[in-house]
Amino acid sequence: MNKALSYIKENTWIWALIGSTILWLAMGISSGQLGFSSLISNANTAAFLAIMAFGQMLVVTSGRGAIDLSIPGVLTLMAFISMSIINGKNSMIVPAFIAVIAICAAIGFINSLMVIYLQIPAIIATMAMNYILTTAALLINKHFSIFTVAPVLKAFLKGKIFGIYFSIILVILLGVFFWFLLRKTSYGKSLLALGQNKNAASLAGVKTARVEMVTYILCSVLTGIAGILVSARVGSAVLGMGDTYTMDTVASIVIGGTLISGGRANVPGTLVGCLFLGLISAAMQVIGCSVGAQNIAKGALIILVLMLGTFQKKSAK
Amino acid sequence: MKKRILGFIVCSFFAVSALAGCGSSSTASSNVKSSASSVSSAKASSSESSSANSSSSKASSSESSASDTGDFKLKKGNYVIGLSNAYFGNTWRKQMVDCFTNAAEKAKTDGYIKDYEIQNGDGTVNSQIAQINSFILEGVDAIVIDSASETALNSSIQQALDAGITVVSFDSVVNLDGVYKMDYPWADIGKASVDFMAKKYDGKGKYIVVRGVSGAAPDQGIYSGITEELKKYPDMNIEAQVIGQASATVTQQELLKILDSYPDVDGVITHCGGDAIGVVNAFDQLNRKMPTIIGDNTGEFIQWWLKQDGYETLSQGSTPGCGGAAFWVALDILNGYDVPQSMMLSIPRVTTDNLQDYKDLKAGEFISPDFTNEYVIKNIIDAAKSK
Amino acid sequence: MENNKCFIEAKDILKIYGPTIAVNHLDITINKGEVLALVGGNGAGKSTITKILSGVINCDSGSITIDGEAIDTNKYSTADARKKGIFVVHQELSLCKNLTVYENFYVEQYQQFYKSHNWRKTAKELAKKALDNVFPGNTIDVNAGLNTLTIAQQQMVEIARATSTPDLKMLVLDEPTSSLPTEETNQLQEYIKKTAANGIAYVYISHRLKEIMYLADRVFIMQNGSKKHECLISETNEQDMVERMGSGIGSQNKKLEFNTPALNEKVSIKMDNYSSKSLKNISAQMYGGEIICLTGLEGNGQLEFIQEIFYKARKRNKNGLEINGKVAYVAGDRKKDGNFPLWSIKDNTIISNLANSLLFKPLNTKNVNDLVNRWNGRLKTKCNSTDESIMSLSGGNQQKVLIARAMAVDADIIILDDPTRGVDVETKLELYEVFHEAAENGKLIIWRTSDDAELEYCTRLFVMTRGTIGAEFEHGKYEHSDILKVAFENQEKKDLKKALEKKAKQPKLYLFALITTIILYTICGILSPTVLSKRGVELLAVGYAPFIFCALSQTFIIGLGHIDLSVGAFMGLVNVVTATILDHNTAFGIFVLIVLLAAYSLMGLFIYWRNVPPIIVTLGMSFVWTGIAYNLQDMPGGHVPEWMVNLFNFKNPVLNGILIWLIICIIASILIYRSKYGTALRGYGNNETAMKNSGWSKAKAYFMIYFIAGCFAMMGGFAQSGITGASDVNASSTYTMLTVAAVIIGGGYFSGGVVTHFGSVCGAISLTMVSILLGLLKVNTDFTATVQGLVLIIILSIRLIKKGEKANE
Repeated sequence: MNKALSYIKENTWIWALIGSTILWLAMGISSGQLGFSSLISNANTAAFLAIMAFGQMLVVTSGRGAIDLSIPGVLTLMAFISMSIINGKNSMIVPAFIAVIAICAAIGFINSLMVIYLQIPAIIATMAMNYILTTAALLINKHFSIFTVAPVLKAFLKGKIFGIYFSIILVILLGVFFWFLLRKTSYGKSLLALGQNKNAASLAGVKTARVEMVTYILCSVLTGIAGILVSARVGSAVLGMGDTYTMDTVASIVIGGTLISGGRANVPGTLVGCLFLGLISAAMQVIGCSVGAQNIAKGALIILVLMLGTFQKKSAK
Repeated sequence: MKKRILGFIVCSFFAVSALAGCGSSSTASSNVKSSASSVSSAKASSSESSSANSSSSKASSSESSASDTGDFKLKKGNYVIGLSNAYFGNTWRKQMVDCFTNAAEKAKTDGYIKDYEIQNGDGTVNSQIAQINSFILEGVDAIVIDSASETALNSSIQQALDAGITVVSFDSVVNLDGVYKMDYPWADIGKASVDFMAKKYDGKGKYIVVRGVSGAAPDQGIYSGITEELKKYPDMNIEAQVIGQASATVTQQELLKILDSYPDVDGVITHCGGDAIGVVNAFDQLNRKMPTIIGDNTGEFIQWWLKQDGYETLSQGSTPGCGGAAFWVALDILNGYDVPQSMMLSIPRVTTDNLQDYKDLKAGEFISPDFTNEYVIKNIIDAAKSK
Repeated sequence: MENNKCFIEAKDILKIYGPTIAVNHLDITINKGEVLALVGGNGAGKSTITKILSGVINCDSGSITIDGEAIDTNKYSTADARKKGIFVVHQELSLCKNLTVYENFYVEQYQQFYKSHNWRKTAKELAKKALDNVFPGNTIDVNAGLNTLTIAQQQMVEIARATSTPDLKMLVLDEPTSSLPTEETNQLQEYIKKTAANGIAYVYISHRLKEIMYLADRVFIMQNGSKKHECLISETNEQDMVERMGSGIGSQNKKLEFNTPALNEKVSIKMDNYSSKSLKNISAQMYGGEIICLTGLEGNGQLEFIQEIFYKARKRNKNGLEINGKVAYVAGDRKKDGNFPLWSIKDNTIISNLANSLLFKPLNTKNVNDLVNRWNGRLKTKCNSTDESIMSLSGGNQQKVLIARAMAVDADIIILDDPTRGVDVETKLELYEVFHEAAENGKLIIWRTSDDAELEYCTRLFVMTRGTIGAEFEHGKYEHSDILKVAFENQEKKDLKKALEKKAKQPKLYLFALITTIILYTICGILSPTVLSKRGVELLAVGYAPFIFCALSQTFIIGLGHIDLSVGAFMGLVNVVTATILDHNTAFGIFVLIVLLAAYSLMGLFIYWRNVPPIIVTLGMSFVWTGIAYNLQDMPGGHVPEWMVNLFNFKNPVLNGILIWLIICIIASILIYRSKYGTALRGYGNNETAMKNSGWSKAKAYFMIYFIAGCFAMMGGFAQSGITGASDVNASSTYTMLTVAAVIIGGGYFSGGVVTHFGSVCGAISLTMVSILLGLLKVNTDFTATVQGLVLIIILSIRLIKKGEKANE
């Protein structure tokens, strides 16, 4: 029992999980439709957020208040680029993926250059990059607006296995991958070290520059892939489609237990956090709460989770 | 030293990438694919002379007469006309801007104007205020505006009027003395949707309403039409309401969140502005029985409808070509033509009766007549005067 | 001693830190009008006892009587000490670098300014007087920002500030002259003598024995937390002091078997006239199998020596430094340089191995466990399991983990950075054996130590003085007093010619932003003269007014070192309230606005109370503000009452209403920051500890900053209402990040309290002028965002280059 209690204390995202369950039940009761399908639908939507949240999780974990604000720009631009390359043809899916990954890697690389060598705070550097990418998307939008989704992608996104969408399974696999990456590879450990204490990490031999670069590249690449999938899902790329994602990725990882000051990342927590955020707005909509109440709930819950986190820290002293 | 070099390299990279896009000196990218606006012009649907009272003008083909405008002819001029567009984030707006561009390009080539400029905002009042200020400072002759709000821009627009600039508002119009208005009978759209559903489902049924761009006049107009008309049918239930922002993407996303809680949906009353295919996709994704969806005159929706077997619905929507229409109205005003303060555009409507007329409509296009100046003068300006 | 002369009498003071006895049943007396010199080697306990006497820490047992009054040793705080007239000038300066000299005086001695009207003038006079008192003829400009002064000048300011404290009874000076040039040192000494004669008690901690001979009345020599010797200055001399300090060192040491190690030539470090910023002409050869100790007084280049070896090892060798072998570093300042506090012992041990392997290679759990257990076992790390958190270990055991980290990676060269600080004797001995064994296995150990007793265990030792190797000794062939002699000599020599040179005039923070604004305005003006006309200015001002108000608000927050992500949403909420509630019911509307302002301020209090990251709290609150606004008004619209529109947007032949309000608010924000309390708030942005110690309440500071920021954000909402006459929740959401950009462009930094309101305004104007410029240039205005992003990057890059140039001076 004690072990369970201490595990809960360590992992505040358990509260988010409990909260998710409560929300799902409330949604079901209120509409008279208690079933897994509503949970699965929302999990599906949350899955796309989760892909980006993983990337943000890595950047934030690198410490010193780093946040990647270029996520919306990357998402939107890659949505456009992938749509224009694929243009409805299955054969172009792989080239599109390759192109997107290459471009995102370059974007992430430039982000990291600004942060490491120009010593521009990550928030500012990625903000500036975001402006540039937004403009690029705008320009592409002018020249290209016919959107057809490749059948293979469409089938993938619609497909289910055992009642669970492929995309959810993909994200869970990603989660396993990142859990493994953070715990059991040199990169993951180096990142966690860097985030806890950059000085100590340097002195311990961690190649901090290299680790930071990989981090920003990974984040951009993940966002790019999310861009391909999101645009395929809705069948088009739209300007501004990424705007809510920045704050949502930050909120979801914080709810999930990743420290904003760096050094600790929580993979299952991130998944739960994304689900929770999605359920808040969905459940409240079904219950009949206004958009306003949904926002208030979102904000209050983020702060509540923060408070819980510090309560347990204080008691640990 | 190393850092300095690195800094310059990064900066130059950005500078070059930015300049790479700054192509021509004119503000609009003139090599826009004309596919968007070369809509089935010959089959232009409604006659523009219908006024706000005609509620069920069926779509019928009419010719766009090239002559018959009297002795009025455009003169060559040095005018600069600006388009202030509040929001650029959906296909309707994009087509509208393209129509404006095409009209303006033609006028420029013919020498009727010196230049034109397009500014697109992010949907907020503040960015549009900045656009108007910019135009005032540049000293344009006329501003054509698709506004973010009916009243919030009034003080800025007043400044433009005071500076002697002609202001023509369209689609999402502005309520200010001195500003020309080209409006749609929004409430009629809402009314027609409700009436169609009432007829089909015998005055009963469960429905979802999809709203449009928050705060814009179209959304408010259509919604008030819906609510007014619903009073006649107390057994029609609006189960839920989502805000689709006139975008298929947003509509789809919002519906996906809630649809599982509503297993029985008879019909979806859309905003008729680019959101309909999003509704289709949402139900399709969840493998649900397709309800009756009010269409929005987009190529996507029409093409999908054409493939359905025995699907009956009503499709209606505003015409993005009004961007071009507004341009010609502004130019006509500058050329001294007598234009009334208030004009009305009409709504093309599609039912199973005339669906086949639109089988060539491509994805990314809206049903929209080709607004040449002659057409505009005859069907919009003069028509409004004769009322 | 005569009656009444005794100021502090401390008896039987005991202070234990874990295994270390920092102060060992010490008796010490400090008399009025007397200069007591506190002398001793590193780690003797001098700093600790002075901290106890000045209330920074509490002793574990013992009694302290101050001015005849016994004090409660458990509750004695710095505030109490100050009340009694006890002040300390520490080695780490407690000044706020972002304030000017005289402002630093004010912040510390603000009680004197309650009644003054022109406090700046008073403070300047006070500062000048204080500086001239101690250092007559000094060239320090009291108007200069502290960060433009050299270290020496900063030290002078700190000393002058402390000495000028009214009701000063006792002053502790900890190494005050370490950065002072000769003349200033003499001046300080004269001042001390003069004021001591007037009854002030001085405790003077220094390594400069010559100075002590000149200055002190009595000498108190400490060693290992105890009193070694005490006498009047007339009874001793430099040589005597050195000998007394040196004797008895190492008597506790267990004698280790010491064999001259066989040299392992494969591992080596060769330095041939190596010089760098802090080191001068170092020539030495070190080989595997040796244990080389670096000693000498702290601050003479030992730290630089080892860190440069470590960092340069990874680069191509140059400059006369040749390294053969893999280098590992064991940190001694465990908190700052060593521990990963969130991790277990296992993770802390294995990190260097992981860092060295391929980036994505999965780690072999079995290998990891083997290595971790082997080394922690060998080092006898006391723990229940290696999965425990490292923070649950004692200091000594933590150190063992850090050493295990270096051993596990099988380095050839191991650098020890004073690893036995705060470690108990038993553990120390265990560690010494480990070092020896490593050396016998052919490794080269370089060991920086501050404990002279440890020098016993090395094969060779370098005594560092002033960045170079003063002397080299071999094991067994020296006396401790030889070492101390070398260490202490040359301390007086000052190579500080540059110490007082005026630094190049710093450009004002807001310079770049101002230049950018002027350039943009000029170009726009050339393209369209209307821009520069009154109408043009008013037109544009209306466009960017709300943004500027928000930028002012954000400036205060960033000045505190936080980021406010809710400023845009709050502005939107205020806008909505004015168009809904205020329109229907003025009184209730005003009430709601006041409540909102209070809530905003409470945000600050919450951040203080729970010590949570402000960025997340403000992010959460931004959702709350937005939500409330949506509840009040779900669609844009509403109607702002006429009186409000008239109040904020009135037409006026001289200047448009908005413009007037803008100017008023900008001036107000500048004045607030320059006010008395505003200066304290600025100080909080730079050095919270110093401000707290000076007696300023942290809770109040946080509350006030957020209150002020809330006011300006509210003004932004009013401006928006006045301009549009309606409201839209979403209109202001884009502002938030832009305000951050504006503040940074304006010369602000995210930490250090370095922001300017004028700069933020220039930054905001620049950002908005970009779109106007593009329009006038007939460039697609869609590029606005890109240009804004570029402006950000370019300005920050230029700032970095400037900083780099400065550092190279």
